[in-house]
Amino acid sequence: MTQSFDIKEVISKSTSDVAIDDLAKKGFRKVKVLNKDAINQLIADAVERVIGERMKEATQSEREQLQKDSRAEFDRMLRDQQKSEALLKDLENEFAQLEAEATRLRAELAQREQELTELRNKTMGSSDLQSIKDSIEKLHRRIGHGAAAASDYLEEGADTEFAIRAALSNTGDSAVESNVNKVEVTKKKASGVSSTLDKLRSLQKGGKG
Amino acid sequence: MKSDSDHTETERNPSGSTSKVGRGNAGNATKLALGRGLDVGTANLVSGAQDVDGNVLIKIQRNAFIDIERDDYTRNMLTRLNVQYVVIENRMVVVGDPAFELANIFNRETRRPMKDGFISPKEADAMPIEKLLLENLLGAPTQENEVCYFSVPAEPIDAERNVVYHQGVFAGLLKKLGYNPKPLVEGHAVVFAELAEDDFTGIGISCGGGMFNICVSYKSIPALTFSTSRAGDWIDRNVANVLGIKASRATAIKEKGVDIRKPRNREEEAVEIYYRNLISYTLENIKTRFESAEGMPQFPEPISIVFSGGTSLVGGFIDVCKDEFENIKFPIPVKEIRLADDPLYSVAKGCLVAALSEA
Ligand SMILES: Nc1ncnc2c1ncn2[C@@H]1O[C@H](COP(=O)(O)OP(=O)(O)OP(=O)(O)O)[C@@H](O)[C@H]1O
Ligand SMILES: [Mg+2]
Repeated sequence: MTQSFDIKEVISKSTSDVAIDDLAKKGFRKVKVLNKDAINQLIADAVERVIGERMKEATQSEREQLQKDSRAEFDRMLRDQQKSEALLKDLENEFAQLEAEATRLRAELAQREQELTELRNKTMGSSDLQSIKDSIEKLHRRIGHGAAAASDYLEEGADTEFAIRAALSNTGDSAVESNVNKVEVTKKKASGVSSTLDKLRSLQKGGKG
Repeated sequence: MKSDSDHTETERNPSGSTSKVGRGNAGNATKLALGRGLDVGTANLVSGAQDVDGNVLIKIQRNAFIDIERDDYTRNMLTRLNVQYVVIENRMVVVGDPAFELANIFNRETRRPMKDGFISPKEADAMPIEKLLLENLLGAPTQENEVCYFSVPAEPIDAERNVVYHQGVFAGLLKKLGYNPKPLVEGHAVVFAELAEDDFTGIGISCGGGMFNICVSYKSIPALTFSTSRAGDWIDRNVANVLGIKASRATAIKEKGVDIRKPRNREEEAVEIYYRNLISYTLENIKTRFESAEGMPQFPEPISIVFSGGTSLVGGFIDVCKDEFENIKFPIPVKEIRLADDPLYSVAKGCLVAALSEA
């Protein structure tokens, strides 16, 4: 409806540049200077006046048309306004919902953390149980002796004698079934040691080897 | 499932009993001199005895086992194939060399009663198996409380191990068999077996499966003994690792006749690399120990270094030792670097010499 126009452009198009010296030659001593805002104001006043005159002169039907148009324009603006308000409300609702969800999640997280701590404490409890179980097993091994007990003694840095005794306590003396003594064994001959032995004996006696 | 050898003989113990006395000289069994030697090794258990004619009789067994399904068929087959087994807690356990062969066939690892030179306290079945293997290798003593010298590792310089436990366990097992057990440091046994010509003066080294044992001796008295826990198994583990194979497979490759001076393929190259590394590690350690130890004897003459043990059996071993020896500034003059007469039996022979010398 409103047609905005560029005052600067209108001025530059409808005027011509005249050098101050030329004006002086033509006998002009003073020039009046108008700024852009002042021109805008002049135009707005002129338009107002013209519309006022026109409304006086407008026919009934023209007036009604103008009112109708204005009304329509007002309604459209009102609708736009209402739409924006609805949109805003929607956004506000959505935000509220998200905020509620975040709060719920925060609560759940806290709950889970609590559970985790409890679980950790519980696990600690069962590792205590495990170490009790281990030590019972160790005692069993000690009673039964054998390599496992020996290995325990060595790991603990106990007297090596204990470890040796434990290891030797289970050499399968009676129970083992085997054919080891029934099958052939590789036997070889090596070079003799008689002269070596003689030399060693004479050295041991203090003689020359 | 048995390895062949020119010298292979067999011996049976028909009773399979554990009677403590008498078997040695009983019936048609060979008459033996008093005193036994036993090499307690991570890879091999080796016994040595001397018959009345002065022959040294050696018995050797892999110190390994593997368990297999227990059923009557397997039980019969194993006996027929001369495969030794033990039943432990309802499982059939195959022991000794066949365990190693089975492991390779089935692409499994053997279980080992010992690790890095020492009895493993973690291996629950180690005790009954070691006892059986020892019984099998030594038999009963000729006379109750017959002296049996057994090898023990020297304190390792690169690992923490309980030597007292290890020694106590084997002494206990030997006592159960009726022997009077006496420990002998492994490197010292090498000196006894190999350095007679040098008045038992020089350096004896046993290159085993679990460790290298070193003894610097002056007139049969050990001046410095120590061990390092890198040896044959260390090579196998590393070779297996770089080639992406099982360690027992790597052992088989290594023992099949590699010459570390001229590897023929990637696998043998891997073996060579770790061998060189191991040898220079050992020589460096000897040098360092030598320089830092107090009370080292002043050797009046250049000495010999003798290498023994299964790990020294690889082709080109002594040449590579000489190569690596050139690369370090050894603190004392050395006249010779050589291989033992019977590298695999050196320690057992040394223990035997010690035992016989007491009789
Ligand atoms: N022909 C061979 N070539 C290379 N290595 C071999 C050969 N034969 C055996 N070995 C290796 O030698 C090692 C076993 O040697 P040995 O029997 O001297 O050791 P051990 O005494 O049982 O062990 P340790 O003294 O360390 O406890 C094993 O690593 C084995 O693979
Ligand atoms: Mg050895």
